[in-house]
Amino acid sequence: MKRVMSLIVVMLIMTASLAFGETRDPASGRVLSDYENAVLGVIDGSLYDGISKKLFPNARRDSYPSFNDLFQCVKQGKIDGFLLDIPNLAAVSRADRGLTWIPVPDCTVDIGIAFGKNEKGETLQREMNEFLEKIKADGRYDSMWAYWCEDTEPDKMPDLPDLTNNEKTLKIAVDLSRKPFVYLLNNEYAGFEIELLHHFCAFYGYQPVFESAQWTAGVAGLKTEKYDVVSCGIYMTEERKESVNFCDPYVIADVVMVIYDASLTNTDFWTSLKTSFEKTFIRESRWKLIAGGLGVTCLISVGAMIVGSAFGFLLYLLTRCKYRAVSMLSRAVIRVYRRIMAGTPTLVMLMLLFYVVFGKSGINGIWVAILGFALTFAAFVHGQLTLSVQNIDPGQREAAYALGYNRNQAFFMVILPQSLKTFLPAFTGEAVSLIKATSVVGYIAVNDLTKMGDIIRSNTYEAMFPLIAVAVIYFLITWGAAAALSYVQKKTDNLSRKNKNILKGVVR
Amino acid sequence: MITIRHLQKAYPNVTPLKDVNTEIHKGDVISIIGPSGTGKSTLIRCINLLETPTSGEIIVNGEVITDKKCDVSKVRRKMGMVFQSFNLFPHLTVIENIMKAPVDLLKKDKQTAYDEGMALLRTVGLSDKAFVYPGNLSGGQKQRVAIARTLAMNPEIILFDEPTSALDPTMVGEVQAVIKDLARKGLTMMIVTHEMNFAREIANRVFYMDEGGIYEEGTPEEIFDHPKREKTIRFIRQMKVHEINISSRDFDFHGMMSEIETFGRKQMISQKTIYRAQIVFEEMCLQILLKHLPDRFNLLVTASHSQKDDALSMRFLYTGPSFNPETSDNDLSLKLIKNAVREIKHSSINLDGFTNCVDCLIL
Repeated sequence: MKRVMSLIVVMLIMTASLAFGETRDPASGRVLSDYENAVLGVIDGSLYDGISKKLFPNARRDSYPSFNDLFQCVKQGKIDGFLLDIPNLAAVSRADRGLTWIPVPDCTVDIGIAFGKNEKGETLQREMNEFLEKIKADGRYDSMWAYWCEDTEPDKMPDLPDLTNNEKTLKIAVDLSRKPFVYLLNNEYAGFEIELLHHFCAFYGYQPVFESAQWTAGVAGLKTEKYDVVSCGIYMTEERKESVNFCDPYVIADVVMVIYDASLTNTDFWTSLKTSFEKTFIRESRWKLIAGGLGVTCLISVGAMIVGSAFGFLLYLLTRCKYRAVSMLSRAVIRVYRRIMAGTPTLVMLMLLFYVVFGKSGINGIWVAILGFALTFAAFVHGQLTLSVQNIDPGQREAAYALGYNRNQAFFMVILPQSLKTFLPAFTGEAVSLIKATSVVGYIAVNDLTKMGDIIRSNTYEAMFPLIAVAVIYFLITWGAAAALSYVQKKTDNLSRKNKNILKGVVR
Repeated sequence: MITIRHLQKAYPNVTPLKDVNTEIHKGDVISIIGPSGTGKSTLIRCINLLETPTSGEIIVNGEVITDKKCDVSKVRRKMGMVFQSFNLFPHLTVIENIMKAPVDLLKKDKQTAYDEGMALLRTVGLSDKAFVYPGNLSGGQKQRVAIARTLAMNPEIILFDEPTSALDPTMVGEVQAVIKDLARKGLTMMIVTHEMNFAREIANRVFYMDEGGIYEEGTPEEIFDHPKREKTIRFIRQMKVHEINISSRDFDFHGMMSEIETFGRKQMISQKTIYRAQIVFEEMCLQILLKHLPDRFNLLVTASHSQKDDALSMRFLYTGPSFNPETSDNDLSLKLIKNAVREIKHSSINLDGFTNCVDCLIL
């Protein structure tokens, strides 16, 4: 209720300030004009970027990728403030009383749900508008809004209608960094929009399929019909209307300048450390998110390594095919392939695969990630294998031939075992790089370790523990992978055998 | 056992083998000698097809192995090869090196291969090194292991490609002893070598290779004691030759004098001998022959040095009617020449258009 009261106070001050020409933060006593030459945080190209440019032409604007980062920066003093809508701020500031705001007069944003710019999108848009009108009329809208966006923190998802028998599927991309509209609660998708969409689907007989994706990825997916709906508390701008269909805004929210005043919080350092640890790992069993992300990271890394090694080896076998036509052709093709792999950032290639090549197929991002990294890894395996085999003294091959080994026998029995000595160390290094490189898969809607850390950060607005936990886990798995591969290296290195292990089973 | 017919091997820039024809019989031990770059190694590498001949055919026990349909790797199993650079497998111990091919290719069980391998190691005197890696062996030991590895396939012929060229002089003996041992046992072998004494001792046939083929062939006595052809003689006597061609009275005398000096220095001939050779050249050409020869003439002066005997000799070949310089009336020049030579001999010949030949052996 306190928050509602303060909102009312804000409203009153705002109306008053229209007369006085100035609005003031009731908690810290600051005014908007204090920020004319300040450092403001913006999300690059976002709606607020334009607004802050207009309101504060002389301020410096620093770009960050998400609101979560802006909250961290304003707390740490990297930026002096940033613009945000009241519902979003209210949901976050429940946890940190130091976050406060200055009202921005005459400034509102429309928040809604986005659909594809196509026939299905138009139908959904019409249905959603009908549905919003209906629930506003019967009071359900108000109770939902009160549950998610008012002062008390919701502790669970309310009871949802049963949708299991619905046949028409609705593919919904959700960006989990938009509390209170879309976020994770008890490791489940929750928030105002999620509940709204469930009731919407129940009413029209849809079967929703939720997939976590960054909102930019979601909007891109609307175009390729990978998704039907993007639920991310999206701001409806004229420019965005050109590429997607919006329903009527479910809320027209006031914009405020978010600032931080440390004097308003009274927790000491150790208590806050304890709280943030508790929030990051224990509350709502969030460690399960990290464990799940770790599993996905391992799956992608190991999968890409196995598929990539097999494919790279196959390519190598093609280049040493005894039919000249095959080997010449494959050499030429592989040269181009390796150039492409070397010259394309892995992330860009992953996004091309996910949104363009497999855009409409609905294939899971994990498989796309495995494929993408496997392609890169195969290029490495082929290149390194070529190098390692070239490094073997040609006399070894001649000696094998002279003893009566044929081409393939000489390669597999004499040359290849020797080339492992230089191949495996390089392979180990590349495998470690691969594990770390997989941290970008969040861009293609895969919830790996890094992405899970991000999701926790955007739900708890804590930076330290999620980032440290993720860093430590990456270190541990890369260390483990390197150790395992070193063991393989040692096992395959004949020279380090113990004398008693040489020629086992032979009576000396 | 092996017949080679019109074998030719050509590379884009050079043709080491132009036309090789020979027959190798069972029990033959053939030494292949000759200057470097004359295709000795190319020949034996062609025999087991490590080099693909450009044309011609090689027939082993009635099978044309140069034929495309021939299973080369099967033929090679009966043909051992020992390389100059050993080419042992560095990731395997000595005994594993020896056992590998019999186990992999002849499908022998490990115990049999091991027992046979150890027996072979004993014959090359290295049974105590069975579990050592090649990297820890001396060059001579490596080559003996390589020979044992070749023997493990029980070959009908062994090709040695300069087996002692990469060795320290102190280790040449131990490898040669092993090869001699094999020769005594009656193995068929072909050996490319630069060790003349070894080549002579071990072989029953010697190929001298030059000019893109087998230039001269014979028993060791024939080749080493009585070589017949020019290049063989030069090679056996380790002769180095310098030729001067004169066809005009206005030739560059001083240039040629300095050429003789340079040649002599290169051959490490004593300054005194070089000086004598220059005197002989000056007196013979300027004072006697050029004064006597008709206007159109051809004079070829060859200085040859045999490292083996450390002897320098000069030969003057010239055209025109028979003329012995010793009958010249230039007594002073004759005296100078005779003081500088051990012997001088004139003969009338008919070779490449020349009719006179004077041989001088410089003191």
